[in-house]
Amino acid sequence: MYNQIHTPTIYHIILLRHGESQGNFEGRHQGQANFPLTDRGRDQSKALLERWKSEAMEFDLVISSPLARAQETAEIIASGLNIPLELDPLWMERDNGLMAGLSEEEVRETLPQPPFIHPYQAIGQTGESQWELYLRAGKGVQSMLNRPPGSYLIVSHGGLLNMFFYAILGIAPQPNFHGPRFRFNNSAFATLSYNPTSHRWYVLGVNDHMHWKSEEG
Amino acid sequence: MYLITLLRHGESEGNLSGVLQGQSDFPLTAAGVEQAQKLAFCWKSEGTKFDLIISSPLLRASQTAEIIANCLKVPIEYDPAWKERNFGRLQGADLLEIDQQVPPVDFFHPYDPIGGNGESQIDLYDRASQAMQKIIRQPAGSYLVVSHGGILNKALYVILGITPQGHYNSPIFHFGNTGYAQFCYNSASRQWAVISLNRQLSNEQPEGLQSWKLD
Repeated sequence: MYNQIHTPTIYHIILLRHGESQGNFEGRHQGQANFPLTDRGRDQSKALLERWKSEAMEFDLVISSPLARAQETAEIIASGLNIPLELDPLWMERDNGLMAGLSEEEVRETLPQPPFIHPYQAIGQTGESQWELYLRAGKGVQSMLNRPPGSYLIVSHGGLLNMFFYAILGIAPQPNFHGPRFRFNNSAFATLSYNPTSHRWYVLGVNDHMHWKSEEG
Repeated sequence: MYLITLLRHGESEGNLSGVLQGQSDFPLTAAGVEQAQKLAFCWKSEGTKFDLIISSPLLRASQTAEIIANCLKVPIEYDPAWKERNFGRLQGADLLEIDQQVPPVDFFHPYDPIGGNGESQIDLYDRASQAMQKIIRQPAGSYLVVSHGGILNKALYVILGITPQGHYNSPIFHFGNTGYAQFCYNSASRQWAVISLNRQLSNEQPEGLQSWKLD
């Protein structure tokens, strides 16, 4: 037993979606288009920081998507909790091709609307297919488990984090956006544990936004 | 649109004394009653509405359901399909002693009855499928299910499209006492949205991971 106390054998992983970005505020398809946080997004991140401080939350490392909305969220948490931060493009949002940065209306006006979207089809003409996104999320899972067991915070995006869930739960990408959708409000997080000696994932919570209750999203 | 909330009961006498309850029947503790009351008041103050509460008839669930039903003025239907897993001879065993009672095996498959004569994972998955289907065959609306950690895990499998795995490889969805999961089901597009999992009123630490072999 003493061994377990001194060397962690379990991975504790928190998946955090960035705070509200300018693109969220304007209702745009962001993808890899780079929007900063809004003031509200900064406040959400700070509210989460204060919550985690009060809970004496500890991480060994923060890993973030280099897109501004995630990186800025990650910096607020990492500097506030005094934890090292690594940026890794593996955690970027889905490349959504020509949809990047467009509003719903602009997408309707400028891009063809295929009646059926199979999971291998590039989204927004030139972007990542659902399968490509799933495979990237799978690499993300693998990259975490190549690290030693410990406590990690990943700051990323709704689309990619959904595929992270698919990868760990054993759900395959499906056509036409079928398949369950895991909601992540801005600055909401999911809590996971993984036991490598039994290959078992534990889902301790999803879409926790107790620090920012003012909207149900 | 269906709004489905899956709620685990409050703390029971069996939780408190650390036994594997299964279908053995334990009432709520005073703390469990308080958890249910707090949740009921919170839902009332937030204007949460349910059309129907569907509860396991086991005491720890039915008492939780009744507290909420009284507070929110919602009818309750009891459905044995939402009872906890039958753990066979392991029912009532001390959780700390289970490891000694279950001889180690190289591998077990999801069809193995647990505790000699209990339900296999597949039995439980099957029961959860039928129970979920029954809800989806009701008119669209807002439903609260008050049930138990084991069967609620399999209800989540049904919703997400996960099948039970062999050995200890099935993912575990943690439900604290009065922790709940919320889903939207759009019956036109047949899409499920997971709104939250193991949502709790306060951010008290979830109880420790169940380290022993639940499957």
